[in-house]
Amino acid sequence: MTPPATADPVALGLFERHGRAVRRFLFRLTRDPAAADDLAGEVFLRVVKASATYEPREREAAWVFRIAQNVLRDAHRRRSRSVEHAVDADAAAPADQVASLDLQRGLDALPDDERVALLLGEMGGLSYTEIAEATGSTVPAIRSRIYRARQTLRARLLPPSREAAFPLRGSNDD
Amino acid sequence: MTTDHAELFSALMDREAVDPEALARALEDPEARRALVGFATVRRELHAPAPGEREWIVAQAPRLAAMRPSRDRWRLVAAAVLLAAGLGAGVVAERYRSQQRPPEPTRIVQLDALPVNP
Repeated sequence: MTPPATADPVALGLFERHGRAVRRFLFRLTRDPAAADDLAGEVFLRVVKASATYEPREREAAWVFRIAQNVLRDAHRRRSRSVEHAVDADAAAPADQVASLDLQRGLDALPDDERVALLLGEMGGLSYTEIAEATGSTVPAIRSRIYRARQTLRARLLPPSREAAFPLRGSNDD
Repeated sequence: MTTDHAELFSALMDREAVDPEALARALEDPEARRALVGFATVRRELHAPAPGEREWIVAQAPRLAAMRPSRDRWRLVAAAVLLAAGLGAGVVAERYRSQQRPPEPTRIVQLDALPVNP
């Protein structure tokens, strides 16, 4: 894609590098493709507006995902996350999306702080320090939240019966 | 398995610095290794494309590309402000100059030359 002469190269670069991850992050949090589209669009509108003042003092991923968090927070203020806006994940799901449904149910079951910390780390690639700054928490708390979230999701995706199907061999296995 | 072993793998996956000796001990713990495999599965699932993602990217890219950079908008605003300031300064200067000038005559009285006494 060759952007027109009027395009903001900074904003376009940010979109190309982080657009997909931001949209995925917002989908995982809203479970609603249409809501994720709108919110991700709003994120990059704000990115374009703010790109003139963007200074690479912090990592750009941390900056973009902070904007995404603000957009999400504003959206939550406008309307609380509710069942009428959430897609019924079980409805009409193809058989090959069973793992995704397990994942989505697992994410939904997580406490908000664990879910956000995990997704900021996984989707945005933010460090513990960056996540702690973005969420007003501490590095040890973030480390612990992400670990707990991973354990919860792991138990959902790979229950002991399925883990047993892939035994790991090693000196201490027996 | 100690909680620390699996937590250490979790931190390692997040590119945090971990103690290599602790990592070596964790790698010998089969349950921690199972946890690591589980964490990798979680990552793979999280990074799977979300519904509608591709369509959104395709639709959003040209929209964003067509947007005028905010830098340009600020330049236009700055130019407009400078122009307005220049015009305003001109008007004020003209008023000031007109206050310094003597008023325009409203009537002209011409005096005849007085006769000179012999």
